[in-house]
Amino acid sequence: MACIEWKEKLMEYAMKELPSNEARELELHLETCTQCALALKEFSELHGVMSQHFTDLEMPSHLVLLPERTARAPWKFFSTPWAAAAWGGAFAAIFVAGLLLGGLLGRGPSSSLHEQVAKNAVSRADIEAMVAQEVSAKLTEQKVEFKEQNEKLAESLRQEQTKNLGQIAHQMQGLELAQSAVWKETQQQNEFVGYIARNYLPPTSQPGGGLRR
Amino acid sequence: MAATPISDRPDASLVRDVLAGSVEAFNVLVRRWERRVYSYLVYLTGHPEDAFDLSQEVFISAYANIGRLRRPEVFRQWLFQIAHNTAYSHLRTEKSKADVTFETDTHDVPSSSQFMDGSQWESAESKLLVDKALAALPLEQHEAIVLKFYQGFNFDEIAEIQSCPVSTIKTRFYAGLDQLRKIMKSE
Repeated sequence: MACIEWKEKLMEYAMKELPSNEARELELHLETCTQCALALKEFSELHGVMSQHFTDLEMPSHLVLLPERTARAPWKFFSTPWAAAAWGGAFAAIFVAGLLLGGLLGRGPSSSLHEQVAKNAVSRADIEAMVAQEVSAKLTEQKVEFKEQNEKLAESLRQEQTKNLGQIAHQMQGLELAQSAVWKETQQQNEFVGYIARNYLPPTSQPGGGLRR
Repeated sequence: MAATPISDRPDASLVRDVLAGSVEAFNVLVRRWERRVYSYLVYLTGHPEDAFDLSQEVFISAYANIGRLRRPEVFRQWLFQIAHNTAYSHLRTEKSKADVTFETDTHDVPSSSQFMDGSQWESAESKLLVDKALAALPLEQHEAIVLKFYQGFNFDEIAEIQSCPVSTIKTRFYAGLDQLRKIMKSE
């Protein structure tokens, strides 16, 4: 093998990556080739320099870590034991809530879960009946309440009307008195005018006699 | 016997927990690898601000796609494959904005003096020399060198990260190293 062909092997040897059989062959060559021995010396020196050149650099700050609670491995979310337990718990809670609802509707406790399911304790018809009953009771209650409120309102209006009528009657009496006073005053004025005419005006001006020209 | 703390458990074990829905396990992986991913992206892009945002993208993408990881024991190289794809996508966008040839143009390399403790180096001069030499390499060669010397990946793993045959990686790595040697020798 010529020296040119040993060059890459020299580099691998210096990097300690040359297989042992090839390394022995190279070592034999180095014993007789000063040029390759010199090249190996330079590579080894360079190896030493470069190994010291690169070091860990200081970071300006640490990288942001993933949040512990919210971040989850998306490909594993639905298969983790915690997720399975959560789903199981949710279904159990829904089932127990259904049984309790059946008990509240007056069916009473059943002997077993299977019987509850078989009897269809929380059927759609039951739920609809319960809702209808509840709505009817609410309506009756509201009707009574409205009736009481109406009666109170009517009574209040009656009292208000009576009060207003009394005020009107009082005002009318006042008006009548005022009219009477005006009439009397007019009568007195007429009597006064008649008296003046009879006693102080000339006879020609008497009514019914006429003036002679 | 006390259970191993979650922060001490190996990657593969944590990956299995993440696949079972544990967010905490994933956060441990983030804390374990964030600095390495960030540094790799700084070395590759040359921009610490971009590298930080890209690091966040890398871990979000890792979390979204971890269901596709068939072998939890290769999590590290799988993570860097995501980092590689994220960085190249970003650099392509940046290069297209600048209308510069992607393959052959030299790229930004962070000055190590900005990020590294000077006491780790024999001299500031040699440090700058390496930075200059790395900046002159094509991106793929530069990345291969970073993955090898910084992350300690072997050639098979680098081939998987860069999605190309092992022989290409060896050639790429050798060319990059030879170029570095020449540049540093000429200085």
